[in-house]
Amino acid sequence: MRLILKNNLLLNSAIFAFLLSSFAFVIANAQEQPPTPSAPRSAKIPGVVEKKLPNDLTIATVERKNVPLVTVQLLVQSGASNEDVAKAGLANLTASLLTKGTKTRSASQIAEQLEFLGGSISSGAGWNNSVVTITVMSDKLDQAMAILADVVLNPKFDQKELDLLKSQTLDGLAYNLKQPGFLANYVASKYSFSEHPAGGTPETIKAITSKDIADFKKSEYQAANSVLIFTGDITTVKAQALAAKYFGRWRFPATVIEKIATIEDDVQNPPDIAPNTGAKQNEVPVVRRVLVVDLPDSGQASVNYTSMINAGRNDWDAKNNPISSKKFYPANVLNSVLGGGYSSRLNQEIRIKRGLSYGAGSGFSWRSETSNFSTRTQTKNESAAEVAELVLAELKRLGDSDVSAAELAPRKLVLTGDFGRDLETTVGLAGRVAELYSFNLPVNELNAFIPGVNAVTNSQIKEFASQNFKSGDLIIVGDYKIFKDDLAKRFPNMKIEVIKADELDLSKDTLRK
Amino acid sequence: MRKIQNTPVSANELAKAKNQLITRTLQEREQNDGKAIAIERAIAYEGDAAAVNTDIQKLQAVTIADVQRVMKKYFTDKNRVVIYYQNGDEDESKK
Repeated sequence: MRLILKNNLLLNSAIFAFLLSSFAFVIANAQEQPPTPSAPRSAKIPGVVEKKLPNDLTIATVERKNVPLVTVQLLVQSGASNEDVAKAGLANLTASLLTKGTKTRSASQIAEQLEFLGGSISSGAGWNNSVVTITVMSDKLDQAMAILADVVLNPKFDQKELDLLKSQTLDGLAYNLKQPGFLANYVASKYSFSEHPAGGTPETIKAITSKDIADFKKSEYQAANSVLIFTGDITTVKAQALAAKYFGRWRFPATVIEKIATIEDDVQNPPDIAPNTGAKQNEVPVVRRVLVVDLPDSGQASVNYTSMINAGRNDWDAKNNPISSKKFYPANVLNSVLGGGYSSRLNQEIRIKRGLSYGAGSGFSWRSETSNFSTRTQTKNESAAEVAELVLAELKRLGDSDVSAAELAPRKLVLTGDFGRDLETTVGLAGRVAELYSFNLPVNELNAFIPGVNAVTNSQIKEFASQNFKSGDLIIVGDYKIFKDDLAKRFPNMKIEVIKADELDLSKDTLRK
Repeated sequence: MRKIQNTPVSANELAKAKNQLITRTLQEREQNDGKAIAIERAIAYEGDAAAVNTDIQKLQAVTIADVQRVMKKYFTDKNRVVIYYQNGDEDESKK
């Protein structure tokens, strides 16, 4: 019986593979000349209506009535950047614990009541924000708002729930810190960006107490520091009435509590490590340091290039009001060319042309003053050094030569298309609005996205690349013995720093225990 | 499953299931590709593209008795397939 089944499967898969290959051949022939992109269509940008409640909570409403759904997001303009480094992960644990019980609802009651409404609730913290989000059908909004307000205003921070959440987080970290890609990101936070990892380390997670959570909640979750965003099938009047009904009693604390830390306090200059003395300036101009984290027996190597960018998401106008940074749109278009999406240059060179990886990409993590740029890809250990060379060559190429008009146009369309599709969903729309509030940017910036992307020129991309990719770090996490010789051969004049994974300590400046 | 066949589900359970299904359907139809998929299914399963405009009302109209009737009709011993998994003797991938 088993044998017959197996033979059948083999036969079927052989036929299938044959059909697939001839089909693919036909497609490849038919698409030798990809169609030229059509003229960009203007997306309909909905207007954002803003109002403040007497307690200074900002209400932002975007009416979009194509389906009877509403997303409500409470955004607090504080996140991991406001937590004590020794308690890394506190902002995210605090946000996560909100939905795990209030003074009148247990964790399972919160889940059951929202499930009954057909809705969902999620919460979490980023670098400079914390959010709690619900999405429900518009006729269930009143009931869902009662739950949202309850978890934000009356969380219980039950010790048992905290212990459970901590042990889940620790389990996740124990697994993830053995994965080369995740470990590379964690190392980059400290090594390249002088930040603590926002998800916390096993040590810092263990150190977090329920008092830490309650204190963080009290100091950071304040009406004046928060925005309630409504998107979807709701009128401005209704949104403002619901906000007043459920969040109107959110009062100022008696005294303004001094913040634990602000982004400004936290940003340090990158550790001043002597540049590679033997390096010839023109050999690998985009790299300042090479760090290998040796993870023996790792099946794959993660190859990352990281660079701190001398631009924040926001800038300041003459009156010291936050405005969108002039570098934001050039950086976005540059990223789309380099590593945003399947047909970006990194994926072309590493995956499509050479089959060295399942995917390669890049991205910015925006901050207020400086921002973090990284490229990431995983490959087999044998090809780690080759992939590193390919990544650096692409970074250098961006600073050396112009992106052709034929390449630039579709890369811009990737960005504006994604933006337009985001605006189609209540969740996506809330996310785009929240991004602006996270940096205190004026909400009409939503209208600036598409023209902002379309206005980016070749020379802006070249300028951005040559200004910002000149002293980054190459971080490789993998089985060092396999790529050691090849790496030394390909980077003969670079000092290669090696740290064994089990000697790594992310809380130390030296990264070593 | 026997319990649902023998005892009617409560009104709350039915409302919860409907709320979840309808919310999910609406979320799937927010974007153009989701709308296209909904129309394609309406044509394939119901032979009528316009069924996308009435299927949510039809879902809303399902009663407790409907649930019990369908459970009894389709979830029968005769209709079931039971799959038992067991470990093979050797590594199949090496054959």
